[in-house]
Amino acid sequence: MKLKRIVARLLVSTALLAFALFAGFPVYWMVNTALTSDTELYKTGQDWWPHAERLPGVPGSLADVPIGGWLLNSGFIAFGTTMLSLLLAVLGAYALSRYRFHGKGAAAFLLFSTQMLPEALLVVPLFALFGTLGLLNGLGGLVLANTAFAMPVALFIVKSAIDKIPYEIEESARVDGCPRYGQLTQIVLPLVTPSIAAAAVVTFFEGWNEFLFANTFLTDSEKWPASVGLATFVGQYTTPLSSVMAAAFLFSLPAIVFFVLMQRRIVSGLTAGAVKG
Amino acid sequence: MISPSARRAFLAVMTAGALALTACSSGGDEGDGTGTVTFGNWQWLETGRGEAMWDAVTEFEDAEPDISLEKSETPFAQYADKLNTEIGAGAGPDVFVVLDRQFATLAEAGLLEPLDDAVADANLNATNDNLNIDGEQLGVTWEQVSYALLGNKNVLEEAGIEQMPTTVEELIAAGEQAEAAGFDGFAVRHQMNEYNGWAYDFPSWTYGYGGSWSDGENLTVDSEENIAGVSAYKEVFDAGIVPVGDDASTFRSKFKENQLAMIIDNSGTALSLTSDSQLTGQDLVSAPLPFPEPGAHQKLVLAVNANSDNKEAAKKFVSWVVSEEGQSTVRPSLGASVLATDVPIDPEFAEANPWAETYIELGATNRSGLPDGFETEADPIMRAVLEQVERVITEGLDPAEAMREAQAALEAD
Amino acid sequence: MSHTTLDGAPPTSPRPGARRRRPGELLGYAFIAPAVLYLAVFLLVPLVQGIAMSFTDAKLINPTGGEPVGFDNYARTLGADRFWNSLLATLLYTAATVTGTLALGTAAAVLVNRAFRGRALVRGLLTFPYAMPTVAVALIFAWMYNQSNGVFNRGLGVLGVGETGWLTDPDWGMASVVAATVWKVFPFVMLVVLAALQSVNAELYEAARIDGADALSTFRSVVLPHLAPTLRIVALLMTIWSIRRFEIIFLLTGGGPVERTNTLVINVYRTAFSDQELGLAATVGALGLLVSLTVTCVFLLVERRENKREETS
Repeated sequence: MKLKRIVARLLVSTALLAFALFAGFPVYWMVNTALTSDTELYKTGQDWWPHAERLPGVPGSLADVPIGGWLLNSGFIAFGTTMLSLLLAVLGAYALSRYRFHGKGAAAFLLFSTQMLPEALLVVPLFALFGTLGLLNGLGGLVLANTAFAMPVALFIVKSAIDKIPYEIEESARVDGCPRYGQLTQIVLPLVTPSIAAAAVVTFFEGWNEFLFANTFLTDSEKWPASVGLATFVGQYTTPLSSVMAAAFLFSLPAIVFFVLMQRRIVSGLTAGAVKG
Repeated sequence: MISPSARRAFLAVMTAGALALTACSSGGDEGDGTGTVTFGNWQWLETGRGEAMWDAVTEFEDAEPDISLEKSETPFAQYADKLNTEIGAGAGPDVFVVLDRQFATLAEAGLLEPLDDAVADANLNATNDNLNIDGEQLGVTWEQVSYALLGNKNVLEEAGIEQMPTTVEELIAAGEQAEAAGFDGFAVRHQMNEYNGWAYDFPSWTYGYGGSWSDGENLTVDSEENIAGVSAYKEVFDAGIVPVGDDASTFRSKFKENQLAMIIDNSGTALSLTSDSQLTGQDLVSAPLPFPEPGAHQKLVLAVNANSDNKEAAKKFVSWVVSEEGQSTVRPSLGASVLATDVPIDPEFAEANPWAETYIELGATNRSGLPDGFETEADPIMRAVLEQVERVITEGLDPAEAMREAQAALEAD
Repeated sequence: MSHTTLDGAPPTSPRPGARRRRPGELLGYAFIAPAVLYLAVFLLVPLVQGIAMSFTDAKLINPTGGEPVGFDNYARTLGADRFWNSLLATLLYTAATVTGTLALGTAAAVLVNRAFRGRALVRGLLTFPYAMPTVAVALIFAWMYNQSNGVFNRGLGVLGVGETGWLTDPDWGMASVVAATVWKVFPFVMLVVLAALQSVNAELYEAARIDGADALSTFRSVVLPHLAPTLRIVALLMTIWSIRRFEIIFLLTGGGPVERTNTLVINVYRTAFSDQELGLAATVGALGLLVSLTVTCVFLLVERRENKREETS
């Protein structure tokens, strides 16, 4: 019996180790590549262990890649997407959770069906629409486009959180003369803050990562977010790969840090939201 | 289900949106010949060379102080796709550089502004002739690029290769020699995910065996000559001297790192390879393509967007580019290409870049990579051909069968 | 545990307060209107236009100038091998990705659900892939897959195995793209399953254990039924996301080698932009959407039946 338990534990530990290696290795290899010169990459061979001592030289090598400006643009798009998505999502979530009205099922299905739409099919009509509205080649237009895809997810996350709040709380406030809007902002919102935070992280990184629209709508390289900037290195002329990898890592870092920090919140938000829509 | 009222609301929104869209496609304005002109070109993003080229063209602002130039930048891989999207939506840069195969489509669709007045005073050479469509000059040559065999002298010396190959057999032998010395032998583009670039440099192989995509009336994709070109391409890959899977940026990096012996590439690449001083012009050696016949050239065309709302200023810019002053200003950054006029190569440049001479000589004999009489179909043709060539090198498909399939697929359309 | 169905129908068991929801229709419309109108303008209108385009011969350089051609595009698309290859690629990609992410995600969730030292650290580490931007994922995987210098082939070289053209060999292209996708997406499944696991009643475990069930049969008889509703919905999400996934395939292979990864969405993009045939591209897109819709409808039917069965049992 004891032997069986030891074997079981060993198996579990091995599996955990395998998972950690599987998930972590590409990230590790990105860092390793960022610390390797082109000569080593293409000629003498990349070392298995990272040259940590070269870390101080990385900022200098990043001069080949205007990553700072890109990250600012990514940040702007992500922030705008988050704000707009949350505004629409919170109102919509409240409506879906607390009201009965005709077409509610249709509205919910419309929201869900956004998850099926291929961007590649929409990009041309959207391009024409944005051309009419004068939104091409601007970060604002990308905020609008990204919100269309990010907002429904945020809405489901927030809705499920509101679903769990006993209605009695709002009712007693209403009896006290608190108007409907006040019930939302003063009573419901504070109670669902964790889920709103989770929705914020999810929408922020949807905007942070988005590639296709940014790639199609922007013509001025100064407005490029990091996703488009980095993609230009795929198949472009010769920029040292280490700089590209260092830039890609810098681009990934905020997302990784935030996701790890917010993990638990996202879990509860996602389960309740995206999954039980 | 959706209630009738909701349905009506949806319909109203959709109709409003659709109306807004139909109102969008208005034609451009002439403009008063001043203001900002946006200039689209993927070359702005090329390492080293892009900046020099931009510095050269902005000297135009000294000649016309009322006009300022602005870059529109898209990487080469997405350039054609994006320019078409923009122009289709009635937008896009005022003036741009396009590949000749894209030029033909835009010209046919009436999306390019005639430049006859703008270039009336210029000494245009014969490279501009096929940019004159039905009596209207719809574009001028920006540069006509040739392809040559380019070697890395350092690698060739270390591997003991004394002479640049002149035939495919010699190329394979030299490649094997380089491989034996621990280098990669030879590289060219070979994957569909680099379609735009591959379509740009592949025709040299079939043209090198006397092939062409059409005889002016009919497609000749499956001609003996083309099959011979594809067979030669296959032989080189079968010899194991090519780092398979390396895209252009990877094999060019290897070339720069003295790890790759030879490539077939254009003069723009050669310039770019030497732009960050890791290699100098003296480290490169060039030779004619190792094929029996001259290869294909590709033309980059400068054209004005018919949708532009500043056409007058854009045309002034084109006038300047083809003027004597403009041509000598852009000459150094365009290196060894043939330009719109017969402006001589910069002597300083020629001395620093001995490899350039071959390119200039090849420019006199090579032929246009465009299918004669099927210019507007160039993309579908190249796509059908390259899809089959990819199968030849990955699945071992027989070159003759591959070209027959490409021909059949094209004829079915 | 209660779970609402996707179309927003009432839950199978009452939630706190749900019973007392008031009609208040107008206010409800006012709150939902901004979101719905927003989607109507930015998704529905373009979608309708896209579908309308599939009945014209619109070209990229003149998107509004297409002449109506009836069902020609559909006939052409359905009559060509490319579409069917593309559909096959989509189904393969989807099946492999969904299976891979569900298997790995569930396994990972079960593993990190147990208490052990350093659990928070491992959990954090396992979410890295999901957080990483797709463009960055594509860059590092393309480099790892590189035939002559990539780490996979170098690692295999150490073991004495020859080079594999991960992204260039037609036999490997799809597998390589699926592997990169599964790596990127499995943490999503893990996170969701983890949350569901945490609501498994500890007493159920105990009861099963007292019955003398071993770990595996406890999992099968207690945990899996509890997870089933969650897994079904995750499977649906994974499926419709896989059908429309674009970036990672586009950046890694662009549909190659030899069209093996030319999924419907990549096909739409290539037809629209490289071939400049907007009408045909819209047709492929509309057919792809039909596939997604079919999957969703089948799912909703299954879900309804399952819910009924659970209610009666």
